[in-house]
Amino acid sequence: MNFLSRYLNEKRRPAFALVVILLAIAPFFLSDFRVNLLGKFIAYAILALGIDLIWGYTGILSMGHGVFFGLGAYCFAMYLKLESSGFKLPDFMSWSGLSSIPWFWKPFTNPVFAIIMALVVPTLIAFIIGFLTFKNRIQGVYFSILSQALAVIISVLFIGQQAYTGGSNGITDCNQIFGYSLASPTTKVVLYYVALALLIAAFSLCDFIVGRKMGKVLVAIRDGENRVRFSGYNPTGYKVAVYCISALLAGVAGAIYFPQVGIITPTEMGITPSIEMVIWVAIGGKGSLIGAVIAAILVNALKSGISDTFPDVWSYFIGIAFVLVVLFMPNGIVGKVSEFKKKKIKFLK
Amino acid sequence: MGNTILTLENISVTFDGFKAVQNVSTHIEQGELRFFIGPNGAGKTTLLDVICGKIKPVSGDVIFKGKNILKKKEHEIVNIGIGRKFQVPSVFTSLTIYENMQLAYAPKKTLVNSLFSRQDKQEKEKIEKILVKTSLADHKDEVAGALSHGQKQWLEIAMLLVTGHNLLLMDEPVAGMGRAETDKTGELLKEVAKTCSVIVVEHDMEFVRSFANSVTVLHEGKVLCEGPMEQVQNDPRVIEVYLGRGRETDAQNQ
Repeated sequence: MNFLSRYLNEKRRPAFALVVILLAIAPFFLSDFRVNLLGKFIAYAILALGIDLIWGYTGILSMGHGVFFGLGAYCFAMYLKLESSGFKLPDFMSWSGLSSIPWFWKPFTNPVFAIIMALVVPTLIAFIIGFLTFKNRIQGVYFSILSQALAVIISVLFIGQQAYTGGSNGITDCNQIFGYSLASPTTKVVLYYVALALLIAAFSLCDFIVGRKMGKVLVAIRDGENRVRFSGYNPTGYKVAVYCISALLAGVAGAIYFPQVGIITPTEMGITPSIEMVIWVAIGGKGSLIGAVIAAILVNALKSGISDTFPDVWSYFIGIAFVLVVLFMPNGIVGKVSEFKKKKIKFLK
Repeated sequence: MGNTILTLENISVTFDGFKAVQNVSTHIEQGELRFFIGPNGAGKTTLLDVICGKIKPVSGDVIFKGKNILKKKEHEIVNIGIGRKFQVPSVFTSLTIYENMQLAYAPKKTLVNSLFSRQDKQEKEKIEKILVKTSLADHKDEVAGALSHGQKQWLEIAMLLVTGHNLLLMDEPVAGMGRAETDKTGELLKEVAKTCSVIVVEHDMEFVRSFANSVTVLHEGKVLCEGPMEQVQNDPRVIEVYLGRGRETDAQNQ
């Protein structure tokens, strides 16, 4: 089983190339609305890659990745909000009684600064939390609970600071990006292809890490952290690094999500979306990069399809899907595919 | 004593007030194959844990190659030449045997090296040589999770060998092995002891008799006696607390 999923993993590159080709030609066949949706799912796929790296490969279950996603989105949203307000006081601030732009918002008038912050802020927070927890050897369930607490704290904090964050309404009503209208179909298609390019970059990064000895060390940490330590490696450094990389990818995902969707609220940083993200990876197959990408897109496509017609059913659906995956496909879609291939090979023999 | 590689000085370990190890002192020579024996709870494994940095003693010093290593972290201790094998075989079950060996071999184990260094020829030769020695060469592309219990034990020993340690700490390396596998492991240990010092914790007395060149008997956290196997075997105190009891149970089993 393990051997076969490894065999399939080696084929992740051609499989990913196929996915990229399909995504690249999709805009020629889909309506503008659908292309925009698909662009949003691509953002989720970038995030799923990061979760797969930390959970699927390293075995650390983070249930607070919504925070990193949200922080990336908020950082870039701050610039877009300022640009859309003509670099004057944004609407929600004046409603909340502010008369001038707060000091920490000011640097965000620079788009380069905002983009850098969308990467740096999530990574830095992951570094601080990761360093403190992993150095003190907080593991397993305790880390998962801690990451959930982070999701609660940050989302409550953002709701409470309405004047600075837009409160529970979040940041919305942006109409411009670098002088172009966000509503125009051309801008949307450009954003779509930027998202696709970022997905390729994210996949290449993960593919590089997994293919190098570092990838083996990560799997080794999952299999037996103690043995890793007594083989002369310091697991703390590796764990902090992988947590930072996954937070960085989540930040990138958030930053490309916001201009396509046009709204980010503290809800996106809460526990529910964070858990849903983990479920995508479980459905795709833990420890399979291509599985994470495919599942993030498929599950969200299903979500939008189902919630269009039956808005209340979705949470039951994702819950049931998760239970079924845990019971019948512990290695997700990719695991099922490789099992099927194995049977076929036996049959042919 | 220019050839002493490891010295333990008055080591004491306490767990919640219980004195697991009390004032243990001993020294290991270069190339020595030393066995720690004693009844359950004598403090044998605890002593190994102290040497490899897993447990910090309340008092005493651990001197390795002339340096006090008490303050070092586990992975630092590994990197200055002390390898540890645990009682339960612990290998990386979803990696192949060859990958397990690669991780153990790597001369530099920092993040940067893990990302950018490539496999060299020397690495391949050394890994393959040791896989042949431990009869694992035919399985090198199989995942370690598919190995039998005995093979996992050997893989773990092979991983220690490939790293090139100066001192190996082995906790019951033959636990759960049949007689043939046990003898083979013993031969392997003898071979290993040619290039480095080995400390073995063991319960299997027959195994100890056939392979030990010196034995330390621990009882209730203290050194009861120490010396060559023949001498220890005939020590009345040892017969009283350990060997004697062992013989009785042997007799009952027959």
